[in-house]
Amino acid sequence: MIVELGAFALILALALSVLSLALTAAGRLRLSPVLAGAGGGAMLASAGAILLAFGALIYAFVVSDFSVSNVAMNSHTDKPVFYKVAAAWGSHEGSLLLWCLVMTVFGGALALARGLPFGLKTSAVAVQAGLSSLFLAFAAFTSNPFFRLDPAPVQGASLNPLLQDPALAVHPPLLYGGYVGFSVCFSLAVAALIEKRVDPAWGRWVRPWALASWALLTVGITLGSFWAYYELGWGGWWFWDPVENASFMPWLAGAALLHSAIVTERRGALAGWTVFLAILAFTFSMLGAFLVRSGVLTSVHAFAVDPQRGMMLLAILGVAAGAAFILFALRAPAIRSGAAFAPVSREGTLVLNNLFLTAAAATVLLGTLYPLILEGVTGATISVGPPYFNAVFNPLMIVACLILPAGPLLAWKRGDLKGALQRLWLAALLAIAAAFAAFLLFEPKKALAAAGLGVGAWLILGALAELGVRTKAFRAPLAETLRRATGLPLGAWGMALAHAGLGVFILGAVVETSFKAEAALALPLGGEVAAGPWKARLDAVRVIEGPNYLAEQGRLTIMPVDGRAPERVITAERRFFPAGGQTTTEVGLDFRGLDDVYVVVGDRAATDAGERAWIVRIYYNPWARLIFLGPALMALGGLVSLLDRRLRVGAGSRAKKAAKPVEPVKAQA
Amino acid sequence: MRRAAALFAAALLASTAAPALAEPPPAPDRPLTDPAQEARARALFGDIRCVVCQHESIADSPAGIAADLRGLVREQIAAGKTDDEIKDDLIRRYGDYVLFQPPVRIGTWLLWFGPFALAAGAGVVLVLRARRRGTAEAPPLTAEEECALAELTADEEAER
Amino acid sequence: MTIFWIMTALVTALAGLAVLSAARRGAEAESVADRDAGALELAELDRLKARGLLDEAGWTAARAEAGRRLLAARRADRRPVAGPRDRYWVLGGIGATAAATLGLYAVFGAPGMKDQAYETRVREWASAPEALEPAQVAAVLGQVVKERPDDRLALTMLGAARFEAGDPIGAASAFRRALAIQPDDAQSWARLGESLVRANGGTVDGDAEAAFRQAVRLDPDQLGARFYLGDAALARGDRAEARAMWSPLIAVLDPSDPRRAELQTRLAEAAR
Repeated sequence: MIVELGAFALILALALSVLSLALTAAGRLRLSPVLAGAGGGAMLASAGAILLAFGALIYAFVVSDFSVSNVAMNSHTDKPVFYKVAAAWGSHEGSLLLWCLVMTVFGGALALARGLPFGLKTSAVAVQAGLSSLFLAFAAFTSNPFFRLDPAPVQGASLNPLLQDPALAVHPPLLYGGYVGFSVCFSLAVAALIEKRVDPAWGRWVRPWALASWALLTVGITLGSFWAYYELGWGGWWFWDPVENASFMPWLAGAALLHSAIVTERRGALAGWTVFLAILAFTFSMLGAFLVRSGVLTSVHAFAVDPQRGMMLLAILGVAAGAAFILFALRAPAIRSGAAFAPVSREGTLVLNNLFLTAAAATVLLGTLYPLILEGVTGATISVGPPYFNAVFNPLMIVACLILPAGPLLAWKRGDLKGALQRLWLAALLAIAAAFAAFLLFEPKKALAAAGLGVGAWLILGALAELGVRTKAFRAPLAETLRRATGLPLGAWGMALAHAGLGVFILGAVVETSFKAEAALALPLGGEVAAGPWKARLDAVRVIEGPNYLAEQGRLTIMPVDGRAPERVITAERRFFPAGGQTTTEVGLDFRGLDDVYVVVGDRAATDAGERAWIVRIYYNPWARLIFLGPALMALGGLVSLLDRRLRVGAGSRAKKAAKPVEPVKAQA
Repeated sequence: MRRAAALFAAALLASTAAPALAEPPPAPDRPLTDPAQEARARALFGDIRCVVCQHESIADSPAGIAADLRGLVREQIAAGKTDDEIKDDLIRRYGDYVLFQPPVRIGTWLLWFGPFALAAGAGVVLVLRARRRGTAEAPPLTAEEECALAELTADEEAER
Repeated sequence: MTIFWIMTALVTALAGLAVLSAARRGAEAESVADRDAGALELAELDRLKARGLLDEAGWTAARAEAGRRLLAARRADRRPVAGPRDRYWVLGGIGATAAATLGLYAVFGAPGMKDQAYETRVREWASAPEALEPAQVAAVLGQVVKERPDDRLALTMLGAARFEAGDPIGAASAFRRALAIQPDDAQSWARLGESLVRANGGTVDGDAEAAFRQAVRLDPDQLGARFYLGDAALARGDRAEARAMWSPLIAVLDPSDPRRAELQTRLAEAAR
């Protein structure tokens, strides 16, 4: 009964979503707060209904109800409970239900928001209801997780054991929080176009949503990359795989959006850019959903292939994005704000930022879709992978990173470039020194890597320089610096953290990519293999039994080649899952400071002498930790900036009272 | 005894069924003895696509053909070919699909130069627009406007 | 069934209630114009100036731009007014939603279908063991074994059931556990071997052969084990071993049994 209640709730949610669309649209047209309020209520009720449906689905997984097709295909009684729950959102149908849940919950939050002008809020809820109706219809009619099987199979077909990992279980909800969070920005943008009004009040609503979505997406993508690195056993953390790119495009657009929204919130400028980027970010989210689920792209982590569903998703994408962009083309001139600024100013650098991030997103889009397009048009097949992105994406981002530290030091409206550069001379000097030091110290000598390291250092030092300028560090007594530091708005700290985090990431990425080493050998017991300054010796191999797998576990000793650091013993496994017949590797990791020594025990083989041996691969990944620490700092910076707004709502009245004495003076002048 | 025979019968039936077709295991990797050459080989592996896999390079793929390609590349390095020659040879055998770097020809100009053209073009548009707008500043608020504004903010405070 | 429809009616009613109360709150709420917007925006400009991020001339110009925009917006704003018949539209909408939901669910859903939690099904099967399929038997026994992990008999039966149900790897696992409790059970060794052979698609690998040897060592009359050991020996080309393994087997089989002839033929062929 619970499962069927869930199925009913899903259909109820769809109907309520359509009701919400009808009521809010009518409320906006007739300017009726009753209809608009009812529409908001319907959106909240829809969210509640999907929550009920999701609860029913989780229940079905936990009790292993194999009469539900989704459970039969993606679960197994042997699975630990945590992963049974995670399997609820791990399949195409379940994750789509999660998408709809987040969309209606965020729509409900929008409906509950106070302080938005009536027309804007009603239009925005209407657009959000339209989106959720489309996706709910897609879910209910083509990808219904409550499809029943009669007779029910005795046992489930089991989810991929690769996905039985805590990082990966949490990865979809975070990603979807990001993707679907951009839907709120999309709705607000389309509402602004409908109302023909973009002003700082609107910006004040878009910026936190954009920031929160972007921060969630950052954590989600980093978790995925982190999981791939620590779990898959190929030593890499990003491969420009089409599905990875599908999540990276909204991230780039979102990064541009949150910066553009800052300008709109403060000064009302860049209205067109912000609206465009908001529409673009969610369009990329939808495009990503389409690419991953349609089977159109070949990727190691696409969902189950179904071209028909893919076509329907493409249709939804076409309708929603097409309508939004057409509306933008028609109404963009009407939303001009008239807030002027000089080319050299904070607004100016943020325009450049928008430009570079959009070009970067276009690069990723082109690189991902070009093989498809070319094959469709001319029939020629090509592959686009890391060499292309390194050649096109990296230069764009490097130029943007070089400009970045100057931005926060420029004033609004008209900035003093010379003054800003003067304040950065020390940071620039230290960054160049760091690059030289890197060139001299790291082996083998690579000029490009040293330059990249310099860029990373430039970003970190630039962020510190900006904080130093704001707190008058070294130019005023320590007491005053500290007082200024504690008085700095959280937004300033958030910005410094995020920009420094980007620098940290670049440091890690450049050093790891340029100076990593790997080796693979068939090792008998007692054999050794070396990579970079570390080597591994295979001591023992035994068979162990896990809850639903059998494993071959190798015990290895990691020691430095030059003997100048202690030895450590680690284990690495190859697991075999009988229920699904799959094999996974558990990587053996040795953390040595910032570096990772990473060992994988592979298939059995025979040495040349005919002894029993195992293929052992060892990877030396220097500064690998920074690759994941950087984005964590960026997300933290975003969170800190978000808190700033909350604290400022109260501060607004204080500042207003402080501003009062200024006005009479101005009137006299 | 009868039970054993029954099981035995079942087992016989099972064993006379056709054995599953198994793919022969891939040839084992034999790294080159010269570390510089082996490093070159490793670098090349990252750029070559495993043509039967889903977007993987031959460096990590377990497929048989990936192992064959690795062996081929190592052979050619040992025979003294340059990286470009090896890449050209692979393209001759398998087509453009085998390399992760797309070719640069008319059909892919949009791919290679599109983003830079977009950035440059948009940059030019922005510069032109900034020039055209000029530096006309908004004139300061008149006294009446200041009064109206003060009224507005006072209204708001009263409403709150 | 009735409980189900009562629950659905309850859920729909709750949804309707949410919509109605939101409508009432909408009617009572005053104009939702952003009250602080203007003041906050101007205060923001003042704060930027105080922090040195906006110079004097810029502040004046920015304030002018913002001020004019705020004044224009204030003039353009229209206040929302509730219509006289809105209430009926809302009620009608709720009714239409309920009807549509019921209709769609009746078409696309399976109203009568009960939940089939795994444990409930296993209990049902356990209470009526006669008409069960092998997979279901295996499920019941699996439950028994979970409750009594040291029950050797249950483990061996589980292994046999899983073997019949086409899960040779699960069968092997069960037999291994049974043998861990009592290692001198020749029949379980033999069955373990057979499970491993089936899991391997018919070939006798090292683990299976070891299991068969154990079986024959403990009980030389394990005919199944003998068959496979002979098979493996022939595959290695060890005819003597094969003959040693199969002789008792051939002796036991009826002379008219075709399998006896087959074994003899295979031994003869290997001689050549």
